[in-house]
This record gives sequence, C-alpha cells and structure tokens, in this order.
Amino acid sequence: MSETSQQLFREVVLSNLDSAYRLARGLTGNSADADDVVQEACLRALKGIDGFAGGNAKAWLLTITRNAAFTFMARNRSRMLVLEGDQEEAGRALEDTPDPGATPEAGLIAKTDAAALEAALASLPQPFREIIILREYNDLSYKEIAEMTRLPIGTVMSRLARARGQLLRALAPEMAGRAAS
Amino acid sequence: MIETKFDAAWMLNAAADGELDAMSLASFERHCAGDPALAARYAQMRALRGAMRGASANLRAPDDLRARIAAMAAGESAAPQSDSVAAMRRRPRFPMAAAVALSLAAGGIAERLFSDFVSAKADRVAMLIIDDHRRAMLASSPIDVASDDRHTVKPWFDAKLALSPPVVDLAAKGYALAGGRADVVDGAAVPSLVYRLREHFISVTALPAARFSGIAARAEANGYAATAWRDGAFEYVAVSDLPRSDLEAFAAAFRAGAEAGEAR
Repeated sequence: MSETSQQLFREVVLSNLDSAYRLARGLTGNSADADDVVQEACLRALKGIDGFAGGNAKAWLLTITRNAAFTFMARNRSRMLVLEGDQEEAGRALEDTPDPGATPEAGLIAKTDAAALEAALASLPQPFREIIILREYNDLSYKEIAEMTRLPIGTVMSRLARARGQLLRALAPEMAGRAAS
Repeated sequence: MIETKFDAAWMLNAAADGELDAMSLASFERHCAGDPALAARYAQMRALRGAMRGASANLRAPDDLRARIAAMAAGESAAPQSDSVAAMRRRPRFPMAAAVALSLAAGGIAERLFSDFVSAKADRVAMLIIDDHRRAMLASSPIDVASDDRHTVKPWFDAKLALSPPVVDLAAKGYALAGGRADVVDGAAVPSLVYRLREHFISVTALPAARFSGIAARAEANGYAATAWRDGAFEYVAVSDLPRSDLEAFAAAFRAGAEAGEAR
C-alpha cells in the first residue's frame, strides 16, 4: 500500500471512526456487534480507499458502515430482520405525534439516561431507527440522509417524525415511574 | 410527480432540527406563542434531541478497535492478538467479507436495472427536476448559497457534493448568477445553478451523465418548462417559468458560454 493511500486512509477513516462507531452501535444496538461491523467496514474502506473521489469523507465512510451493518445483521440475526414491506406496515401503525398529555414533560425527557433511551430506540422498527440514528448520532442533515438512504426527503421527514413520536411514547412509563419515586 | 405533503408534525421536527429557514421558523414560533399545546410539543422535541445527542456524545470507538484500524493502515495484521478476549468472541472474518462482496455484486445489478429503468422513463427525471425547481420557488429562498460570484458558488458545490459543474458567467447576456442549490434527484445529490432574468429564476441542474442519460430533451408541467442537453460529463436540465423560447435562448447562451470557456 502506497504512502499516499495510507495517508488518505488515516484522514478519511481514522478521523471519522467515532462517527462510524456511533452508527454501527445505533444500528446493531450493542458494542460487540458494533466492533465487528466497524472493523469490517474499515477493511472495505481500506480496499476502496483509492476510489475515494474526495468530498465528504464522513458520508463516504458512513455509507460503507451502513452497508456492512446490514450485511452483518442479515447474516447474524435473520430471524430479527423482517422484510422491508412488513416494516413499512409496522411503521404505519406509528402515529406522527402522540398526544402531549400522554407523553413526558420536556424537563423529564431532558434527564433521560442513556440506558432508557437505548431501550426506547430498540423498540423502533429498523427503517425508523436508522433515520433517527443518522440524524442524532451522526448529525446528518435531511438532505444528507435522503442521499445516503436513497429515500425521497419526504419519506425521511415522515420516518423521523414517527420515530420521535414512538420514542416519546416508549419513554412515558419509565418517566412515570421516576416521577412517582 | 411527487406528492408534497406538509403537516404540523413535519414542521415541528424540522424546526427542532434547524431545517427551517428563518422566515418559516419565525412563523412557526409565532404559532407556538399562541398555542401552548404546540409549544409543549416543541419543547418535548427539543428535549428529546438534547437527550439523544448527549447520550451519543459519549459513544466513541474503543481504544483497542481504533488501534486495530490504525494497524490496518500501517499494513500490519488486522487480526487482534490471540490471547485477547475480543479475539475469542470475534467471528471468522472470511464469511463476512464474502457476504459483503456478494451484496456489492447484487448492488451492482440493482444499479444497472435502476439505470435502465431511468432511461426508459426519461420524462420522469425531467419531471423530478421540475418538481425540485418548484419546491425551491416555494421556499423563502430558491438558493442554498446566494452569490453572484462563481468563485464562491463552485467551491461551495465542491465542498458540499464533491461534484461541481462549470459555472458559466452570463451576466453580460443579462442572466445574473443568483447562487447555487443542492437538489436530490432519484437519490443522488446534484448541483443546481440558479440564474435570474428580470423577475424569473432559471435553475440549471447538472446530472452526472454516467448515471443519468437520455433525459427527455423537452418537458413541461404546471407552467414550468424544462430543456435538457448533454455536455461532457454532465446532462444539464434547465427549468424556468419563462416562455419556452426564452428558456431555449438561455440554454443556447449557457452552452455557448461553456464552450467559449467563460466557466471556471
């Protein structure tokens, strides 16, 4: 491997490694699987580094990481992954925004701990979880998410709205418990 | 044609995500002031965002993973040391790599089917671009980067899209450069230049010819006209509410300008 390629790999991959790890962690839901996914993604990135055309290095690495995560999950959790059509169906049941009376107050939400959030995230169907992870863990804009997932921007917005509505509902029982104690 | 759907939940999320332009945000905040339930939801959204970002900020690639990746770059063995706990639970690499290769191959086939589909539906791409132009006209600003200086617009595209078409200076012909915009067409982010003629805007979208080819030369919808041409690595589509003859005159001026090298 040439010196230039090594340098490029360091700039593109190592400097965005935390972002790739967050995506893998968010998609797989645990750190051991995230480790495997990131290592596989970096191997692929290393092989393809000379094809990197410049531009947005983070988006390039995240696209590879996303593909590696889906391959990984399809192999290791075939029973957990439902077909895309079924997931769309599952998502349709999610309302855009819940009644604010049925969900926790802003002050309580702000104090949610990471474990409770992670449990709530795990309750989301995959296509919805993915969008909110790309938004919050990776700080991508709506346009960047639409480009990476090849979804129309309206679908991105609708999935994000539904994902957040579901998260607020999922957090409600935990909040109620905390407020009572 | 794309159905454009706007509703309160989208607005709420877009406001919390900082995706609204200043005018829309101001109008949204005015609504919040007169609607406590909406204001409460907005506060919930912002709190949820804060909590998620706080949680994710603590997620960092573990040191041993970072070390293994760094070792890859240095050309050393990527395998972890055999006595580490990580190595014992790590699955064999080969099946995973094979699966990745397979899925890439499948992706390649899908890509080809997709591009066949696009060329069969040449009109569709032109329609999508007309829709992008319409949406941009509905927003408070039709451009993402406002500048009459091509030396500002081109680097912006470079940084944003890693793809930048020649920016032709047509001021002398009466077409002032208004700026640039990133559009998403069929899942690809593409650059659009925006010119102004009197009170009319003209969007010139540059599509990589490798992916988009054979776009319908002329299309019309909802009072907007589109004209397409191929030049080098790009398929260009110009859209405006100008009369067809004026739009064609613009396209001719753009092509002539590009040929004469009035582009950087």
